Amino acid sequence: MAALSRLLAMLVAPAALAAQAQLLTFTETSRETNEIPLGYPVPMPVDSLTPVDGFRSYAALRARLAALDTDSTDITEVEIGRTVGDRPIHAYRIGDADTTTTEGFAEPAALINGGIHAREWASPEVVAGLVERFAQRRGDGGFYRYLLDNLSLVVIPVLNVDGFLHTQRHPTQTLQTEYAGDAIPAGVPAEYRNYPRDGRMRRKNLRDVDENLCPAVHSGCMNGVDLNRNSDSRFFDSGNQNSDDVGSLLYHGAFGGSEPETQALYAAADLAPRARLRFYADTHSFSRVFFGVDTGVRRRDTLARRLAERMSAATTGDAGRYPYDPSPPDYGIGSTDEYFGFGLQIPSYTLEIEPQSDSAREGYGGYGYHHDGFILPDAQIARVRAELADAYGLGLYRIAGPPVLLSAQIRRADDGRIVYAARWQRSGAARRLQVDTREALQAEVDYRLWLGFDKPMRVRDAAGAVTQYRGQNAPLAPAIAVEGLDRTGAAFRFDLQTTADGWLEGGDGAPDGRLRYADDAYALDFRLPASLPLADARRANLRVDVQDLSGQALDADPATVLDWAAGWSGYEDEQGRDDTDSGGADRTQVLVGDGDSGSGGGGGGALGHAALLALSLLGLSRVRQRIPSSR
Amino acid sequence: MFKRAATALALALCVCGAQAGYVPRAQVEAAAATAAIEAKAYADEAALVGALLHAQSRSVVEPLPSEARLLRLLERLREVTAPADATRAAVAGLLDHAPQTWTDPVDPEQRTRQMPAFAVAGAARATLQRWNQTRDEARVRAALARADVDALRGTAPAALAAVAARADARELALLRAADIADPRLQRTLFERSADPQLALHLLRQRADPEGLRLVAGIDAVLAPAAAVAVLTDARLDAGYRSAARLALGRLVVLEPAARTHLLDTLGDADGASSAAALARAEDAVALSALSRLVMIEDDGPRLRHAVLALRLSDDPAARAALRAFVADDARPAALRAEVRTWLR
Repeated sequence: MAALSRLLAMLVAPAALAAQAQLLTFTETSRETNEIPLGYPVPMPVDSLTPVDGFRSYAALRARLAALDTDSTDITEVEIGRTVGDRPIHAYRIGDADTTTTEGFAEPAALINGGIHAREWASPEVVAGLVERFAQRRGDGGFYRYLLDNLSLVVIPVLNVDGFLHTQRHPTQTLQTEYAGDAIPAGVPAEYRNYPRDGRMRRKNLRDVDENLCPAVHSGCMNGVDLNRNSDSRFFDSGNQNSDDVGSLLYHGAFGGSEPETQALYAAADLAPRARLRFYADTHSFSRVFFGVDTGVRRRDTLARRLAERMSAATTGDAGRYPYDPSPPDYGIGSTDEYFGFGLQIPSYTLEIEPQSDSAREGYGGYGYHHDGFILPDAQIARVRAELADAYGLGLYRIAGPPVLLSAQIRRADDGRIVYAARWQRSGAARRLQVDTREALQAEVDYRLWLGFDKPMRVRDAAGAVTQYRGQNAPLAPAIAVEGLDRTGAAFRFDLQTTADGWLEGGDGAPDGRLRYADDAYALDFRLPASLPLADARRANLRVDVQDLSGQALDADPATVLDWAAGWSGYEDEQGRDDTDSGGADRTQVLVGDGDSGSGGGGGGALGHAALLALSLLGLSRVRQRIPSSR
Repeated sequence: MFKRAATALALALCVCGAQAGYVPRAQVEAAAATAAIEAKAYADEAALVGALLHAQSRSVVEPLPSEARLLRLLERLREVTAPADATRAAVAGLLDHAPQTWTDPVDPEQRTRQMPAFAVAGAARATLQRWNQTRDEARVRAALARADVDALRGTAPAALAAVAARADARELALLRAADIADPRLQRTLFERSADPQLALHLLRQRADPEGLRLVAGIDAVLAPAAAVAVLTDARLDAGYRSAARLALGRLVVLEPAARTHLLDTLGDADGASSAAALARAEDAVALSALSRLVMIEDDGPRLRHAVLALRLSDDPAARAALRAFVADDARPAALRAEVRTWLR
């Protein structure tokens, strides 16, 4: 059927093609016949392994990434398939050698694709830039080390290798053609069907196309498959911005997943592995937007939006810089973000790199040719690489999971004696709280509290001060209280004074060092007032309320391990609900207990839901008692 | 087809919401055609400027016809060779023009996002730059005729580079004497004079796209030995070193010093670039050297990059060398295990 369709299309193609094909040449300023001035130097492929102010040749990118693989145990090149032209397609697995988190649970996974459309040169640079970022900072002991240890990331810098090489062989020339088979809204004049296609503006793969610059539309160079319409999904043949006409810019291929490049993408998903994927992004240019899909699963859709907004903010600090624009659940075009979004119910995006519309509006100093967004000026790409590495980094950090309070320790300041020590430990597929020490706390005694989390909670600026990750706004200091119920059952609470200085970048464990990663632990000195009814309290516990650097609150019940099931699973709020995706304060570190905290499990941790409810009500009418901390 | 297209258009409007100033493409095209005819009616510069200012004043009230006119008038004004100051000012006033008319995207990449219908600010920039370039090139030529080096120093670099591209020997000497630190001019002067010192002068400064273009084309300007001397200069900016190594790779078969340098630098910070250059060189001598090296070198960056060079080479002999490396128990076990995965 597909072959018949192609044959028919080839027979009718000459009649469908208008005679307005033009070979155009991009220039900086010259505007002679058939020239298009951009207003800036026309980028040429740069032969440099190291990132420069320019777009690297495919050979240089490939060598660069192979070198990073050779030099680093955290980056591994894998051939995931071969193109229509029988060229290898490479993915890079970024992460440590094992498939488990540092706690021993199965790692979550993420997949980032690039270079699916040949002419979008910014895409391979951005994806390769992410690999370079990980390679450069793998020894940071913090943010990147955490991701490498706890996430399986697979990236594909260039999926459409044949097409990309074709555009790089013809960096200044393109064939602009009118093609009647394109899916263009009715009423659009012919001028706007003059899509630039072959040469520098080739979009599709090289299915049934030779390697040369198209001399004329009748040569068959209109062929090829739009790999971002070739997904094996229910929208494959929807007719929405895709076409069954082989010459169309949006030709979706003979059947869903027909192209070897698409199969390579699926192989990369399997490598991740697919069952653990929580994040997919396909990196394109241009429009400066996160396209996405609303699948109709409310929690998944909400989290996907929040994640996109956080990533957008991480680019430059402007939350609206890359707006989120999902398509509705009943609409699809056959794109890869639909395939993963609907298929796995995970956040799934088509990231369109800047500019929003054209070079003139974006401030590059260009003249505003309507397709110049595919030809970002050389001078912009280094900045774009950095901005989007920050954005993807933030997205990966967030999707790796909300934070968990793993350990707590309290020791006396005078003699260093530990009076409370407890830690959550893996127990099969869950965690169990191991309480090593629990003695009564006394009023008017100086103590040092140390808390250890499962991930770096903060980043630092160049001067070493705790700061916000770009564009994020999580409170830098945690909120920590000692709360409980007195002998009459009345709730009490005492808020400890905290500052951002308590985060611990170095050292080794309690009481002054990090747990595993830079800034994954927090310490402060405190003294409880005599007015606090500690001596005869029915119970008392720590209340720790803190957001990770992307603004995610704690998993209120570490006993149930976080995972992804079209939304977070095992991510409890303070009421023990695991369907709110909001998290909340951790109250599982019980200093004085009416229930033995050795058991751990359950939505209320060691404290129990009734007590938690009472303590939650306290939040509405509590008496604030504060004393200055010595820190 | 029509039904599908109509559905897509309807969806575009309902999904995105037609933003203020949205106009269907057909109306945009009609307005552009009308404006083109109108623009032809103006006889002189003053009339064009008057129409331009009027259209600008109406661009918020009547965005579609006004922006269509602005675009066509700017295109007409581009033909003026010596614009009056008032003309320049009128055009400069459009450099920050915010689009008022929005329409459907011209490319599927934008899906349903609306785009500005008229690139007015870009057209204004193009017109001004054309005028400025013409004026500045005339100034450069006049300054060269007067041998006025000081005047050259105050001229826009783009004009200097454009004139340098066609300058004679005397003019080139003057341009060089002006000692203007503009990468494009420096590259142009180098390409015209083939003086390695000019290349070094540029490449020892902070890396710039013009310098990268110089490196990419250096073998077309300098003899192999001279090119190798520039590309192996110890003071090249770090941003050029990788590109320089890859450029050296193209010279390996012409100049043995290139091969020697690449082999000698396999272990340094840019050793991966040396490896890539050697892999691409398709040079039997280099391949033989690499094959020997991987069998004797101690574990470290030099060995790893030698292995990388063999990995990146398409020569069957490179794979044979890697197989020999894997088979030798005396070689570092971890690296052998890694190489084994490449050979699968």
